[in-house]
Amino acid sequence: MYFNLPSIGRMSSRTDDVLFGHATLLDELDRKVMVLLRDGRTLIGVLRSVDQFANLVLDRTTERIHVGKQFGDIYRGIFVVRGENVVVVGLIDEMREGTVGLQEVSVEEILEAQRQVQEARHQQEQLRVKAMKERGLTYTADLGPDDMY
Amino acid sequence: MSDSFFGFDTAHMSDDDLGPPDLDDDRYNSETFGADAGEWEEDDHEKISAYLERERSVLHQLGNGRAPLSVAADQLPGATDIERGLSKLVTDDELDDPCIMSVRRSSRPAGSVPIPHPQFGRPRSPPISSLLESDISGSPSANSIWSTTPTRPANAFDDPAIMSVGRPRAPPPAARLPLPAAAKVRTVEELEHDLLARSPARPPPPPGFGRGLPPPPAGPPPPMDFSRPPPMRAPPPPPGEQFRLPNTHLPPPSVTSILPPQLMNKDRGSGGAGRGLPAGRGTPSHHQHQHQHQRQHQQPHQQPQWRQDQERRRQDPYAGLMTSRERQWLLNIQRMQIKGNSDYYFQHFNSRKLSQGRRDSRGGHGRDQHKDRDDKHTDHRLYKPPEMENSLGKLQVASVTAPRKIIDLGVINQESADGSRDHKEAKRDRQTLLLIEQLYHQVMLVEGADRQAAGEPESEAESAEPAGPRLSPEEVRAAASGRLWSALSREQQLVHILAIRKGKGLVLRCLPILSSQQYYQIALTLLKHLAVVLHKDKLDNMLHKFFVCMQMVVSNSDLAQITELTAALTASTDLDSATPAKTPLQLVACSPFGVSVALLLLLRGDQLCQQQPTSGAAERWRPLAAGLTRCLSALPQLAPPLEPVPAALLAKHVPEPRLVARLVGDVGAT
Repeated sequence: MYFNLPSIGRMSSRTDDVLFGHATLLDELDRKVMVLLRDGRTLIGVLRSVDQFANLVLDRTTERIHVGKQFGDIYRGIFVVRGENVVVVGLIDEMREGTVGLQEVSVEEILEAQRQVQEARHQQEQLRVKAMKERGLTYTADLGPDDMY
Repeated sequence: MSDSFFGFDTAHMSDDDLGPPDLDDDRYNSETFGADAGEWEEDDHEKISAYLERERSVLHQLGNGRAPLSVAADQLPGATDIERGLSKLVTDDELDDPCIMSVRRSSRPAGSVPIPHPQFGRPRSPPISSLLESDISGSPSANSIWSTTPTRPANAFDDPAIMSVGRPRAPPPAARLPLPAAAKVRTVEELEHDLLARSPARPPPPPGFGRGLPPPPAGPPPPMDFSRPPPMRAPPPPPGEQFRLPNTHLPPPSVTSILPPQLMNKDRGSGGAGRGLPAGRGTPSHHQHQHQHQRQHQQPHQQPQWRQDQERRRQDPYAGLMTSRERQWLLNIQRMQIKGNSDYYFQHFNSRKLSQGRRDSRGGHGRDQHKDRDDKHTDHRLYKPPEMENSLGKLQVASVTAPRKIIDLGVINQESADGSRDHKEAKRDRQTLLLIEQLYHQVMLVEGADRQAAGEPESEAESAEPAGPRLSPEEVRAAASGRLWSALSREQQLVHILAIRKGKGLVLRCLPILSSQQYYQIALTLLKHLAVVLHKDKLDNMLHKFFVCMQMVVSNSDLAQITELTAALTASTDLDSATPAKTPLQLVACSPFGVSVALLLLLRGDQLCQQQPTSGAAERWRPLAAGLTRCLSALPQLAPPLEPVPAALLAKHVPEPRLVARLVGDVGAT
């Protein structure tokens, strides 16, 4: 919804001659990007610097929390993200950013909504653990909150 | 703290103080405004502005490499003077710290005007030499500390409020000191502008720039710049950019009204994501000149190109954080990775692209492009990625220059030290495996045909078979089993097949398909080469599954066939050998399967022999059996049979009591 296609191959004219067929984050420098992290966080910021490990420096970053059709932004400032924690990086199409159809709410609201969702999920997990225990099995969730991917 | 981003001490600049403003810090203090401000003559300010105009034009000419305009010699300071003045600028800049400035203030001669310090200090201008030579538009991390883009300091000076107040007011001839400072304000921008004009190698600004702002109503079209290929960055400045117009002294403040409607927007957070531009970097020089010349005419209506670029740079002060050198370094690393065939995916992508390119009607052009890319890929680096086929899933180690370097693993061949023989064997095994696959296919065809004949519904896999000429199940079966048998009937090939685990499974599976005669043949071959097959079966342990098959064969055979089978079993053995332990029979006897088969043969043979004691087959049988028994009993090692044989039966048919005892003993022990 937010994304433009990143520069790959022919679409990247600057680095076309050098890296034919390769994607590079260099063409997204100084542009607004959305980064999805492994722990599920979404960051939106201006990509300032990258390196060969896909470590990122994000400027004017906001952390955007999505719950359902709503979202809330928390301003975070400058982020330095280690490359291994990045799931996807996407260029934000600022022309279409307003037409996404999501409703922005205040931070308190969205945090509350998020808390409720997590609460519900937690209760589900509890039920699951209980059911498994009754059947004599031990259940451990294989993906924790720190690494969702 | 003095070495902070702004270059001056920001520690004292806290506007959050709720108390009354500190008198020491008051920029509007008496020294600036009041009684200590020094004597102003009436037309002093006119003189100053005239002088500054001349300075500006001189510098402009200087920057363009042309001789200064012919101005009255006494009025125009010579180029050397200007340079001296400018170099003095540097000196002044270095003492820009307001604390130090207060010292300088006191040391100035009376009548001179103290240099006011605006809130954010003055813009630091780089030393001239470094300006002209170095990359000013780099990032803060570049070598020269002057390569920061001017931020608020420049703004401060351009702010009309301060301009009206903060310009030095000393009469021009009297104090040269403040004048260079004032001229400096212009000169910084002038110099920057000149630098930009000087460096056409900069990549052109993005086309989106023209998109973000509607093209100016008249005059030189800034969008013209952006039609140049290749555009560096596509998207326009986001509407969320905070608009801050750094005004110049020349255009009237009305210019500000033009741009805000375009750029102003409600802003979230701290100004949105600025569309960072390495401002004016790529604006070609002739446009600059054009703008320069036409600036006088256009000034009231629009801002010139470079000014807009500068604005953008001010709005996004961190733009260009990564210098082109750093970018190139990163590209080099990526290039190194794809050069050499270590990247499996890239190789595939490349080859597919190339084949597409060749298929395209562009033909030769495509090939040229490919060649160009190849040339660019040749890199004279020392690092050469290891050439390994099947590089998927190899161990990788990350280093700074090679984030995904494949570890140079020396694959150790565990099979044996003998090179050539193993190659042949491995090759043969691979070929046999392929054959086995094909035979499996035949088996499945036969089984499918049988199922069809039995009336079972066709499975999906079968119906997905390529429908050739629609054959009846019988035909299919016949054809497939024919092919199957033709492969299995070749003795050596059968041995190879039996040597492989999968082959053994295949033979077992197709036994129901084959006729008893074919069965027999297979059993014969097996027994003939039992030693070899047993040797290969050490790891597989599947031969015992053949025992049922052997039982069937033996029970269906007549004495002649039994004799034949026994002969096959003992064919490679000298039954009367003095060292039975070294015969292949020992190998056979070491395995339960071998022992069981031998016993089976002996028992059955003896049974049949006793039924027809006078037949020719019996005659052939007896010495063979005797020899086998003798040899077996002489063997030091004897494995227990797969199935326990009743002692009575053994005693009845095997005349050798010692052997019986051993076999029984073994059985008894288990």
